[in-house]
Amino acid sequence: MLKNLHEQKPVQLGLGLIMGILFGFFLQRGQATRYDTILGQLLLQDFTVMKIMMTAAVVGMIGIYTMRRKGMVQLHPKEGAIGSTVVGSLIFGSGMAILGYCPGTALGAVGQGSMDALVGGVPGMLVGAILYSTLYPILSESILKKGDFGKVTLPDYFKVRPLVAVGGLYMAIITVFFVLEIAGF
Amino acid sequence: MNFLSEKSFKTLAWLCMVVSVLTIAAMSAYSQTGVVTTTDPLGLKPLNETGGGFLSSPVWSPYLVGICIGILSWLSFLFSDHPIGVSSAVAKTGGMLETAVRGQKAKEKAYYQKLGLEIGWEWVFVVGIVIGAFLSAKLSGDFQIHWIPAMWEQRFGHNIPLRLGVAFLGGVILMIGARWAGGCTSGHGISGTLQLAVSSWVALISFFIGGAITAFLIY
Repeated sequence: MLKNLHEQKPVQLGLGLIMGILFGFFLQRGQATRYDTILGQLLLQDFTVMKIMMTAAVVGMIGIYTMRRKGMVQLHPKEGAIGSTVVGSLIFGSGMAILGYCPGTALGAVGQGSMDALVGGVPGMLVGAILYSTLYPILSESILKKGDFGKVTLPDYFKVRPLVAVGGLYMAIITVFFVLEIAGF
Repeated sequence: MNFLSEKSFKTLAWLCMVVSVLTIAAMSAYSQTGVVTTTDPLGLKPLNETGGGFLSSPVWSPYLVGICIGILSWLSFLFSDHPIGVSSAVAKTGGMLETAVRGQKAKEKAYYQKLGLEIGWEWVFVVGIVIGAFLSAKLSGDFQIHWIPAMWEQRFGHNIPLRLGVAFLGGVILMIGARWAGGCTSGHGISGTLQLAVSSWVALISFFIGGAITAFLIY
């Protein structure tokens, strides 16, 4: 039944828009679309970003894995490699510290009136994408495949049942939250 | 599982889900009510003092926001079979722009061929982010045109061209990194981590290492 829904392009465009609106709403309301919040996280003073992301991960993984077990959803893990994931992410982090937004929160920042995101950040991102597409042929031959580990998930990698991985992460993350709150963050 | 029947496992799984949501909701409600008294053993800090109406309260607890995004992810997988992500759509837009300027030569670039320069679910999702953030800001009275973030101004002064230039540079590096890594904090950091993808957990950790080092260098 739902597979039909997935294939109806016009409906999906409507759903995508609505979900995007909700996502932007939540990010803005959680203060994640502010430069100060993101830099505050990177400077380890303000843990809002981590709290949002880890809560989303915990709630998300429990729901997704439960639904997957019932055959209601399928996973779409991204592939990874040392040369692509690690190197690219370090670069990304650096860019995030300089811009003060990630791509999603930059767009959210545009929505809340932050002109540095609109006039500086977004054009920069577009140029960055174009530059990357030019670099891609060189990169894909050399660094991108180094240390490839594919689309593996944590349960597969550590050879445990998904329930164990989810349960373990859940407890670890909740513990981190309690520690953060007690420490005054 | 050998010692639990299928039915019991389902019950357990749903229970875990409910318990998690309630736990995190409780923590977020606690943080939001501003209950900091001498009888408060955990010393949870208030996140906003007004405690006003839900939709107009300018700050939601990050735990509450996380729950909402987590549930939104459930829905995106269930109804759209599509994880939440942002950087692909931005990259496609960049490709579409280059194609508009340079024509067929741009369209034939290997990366754009791989990416597929069409308007799809993720593209409208990204448009939605701008709209949603705007709505949220307007409803909570938080909408304000401003050019320089407070923290930046404190450190570097009121220099708009400088901020715009640095923001542009940051954006360039950000997106190169995102496409190099195959995703951003939404695609890897949220959608990937909740799927327990090793690539995404590695990415998330690396995002923060790269970001923290650079942030400490700047400040």
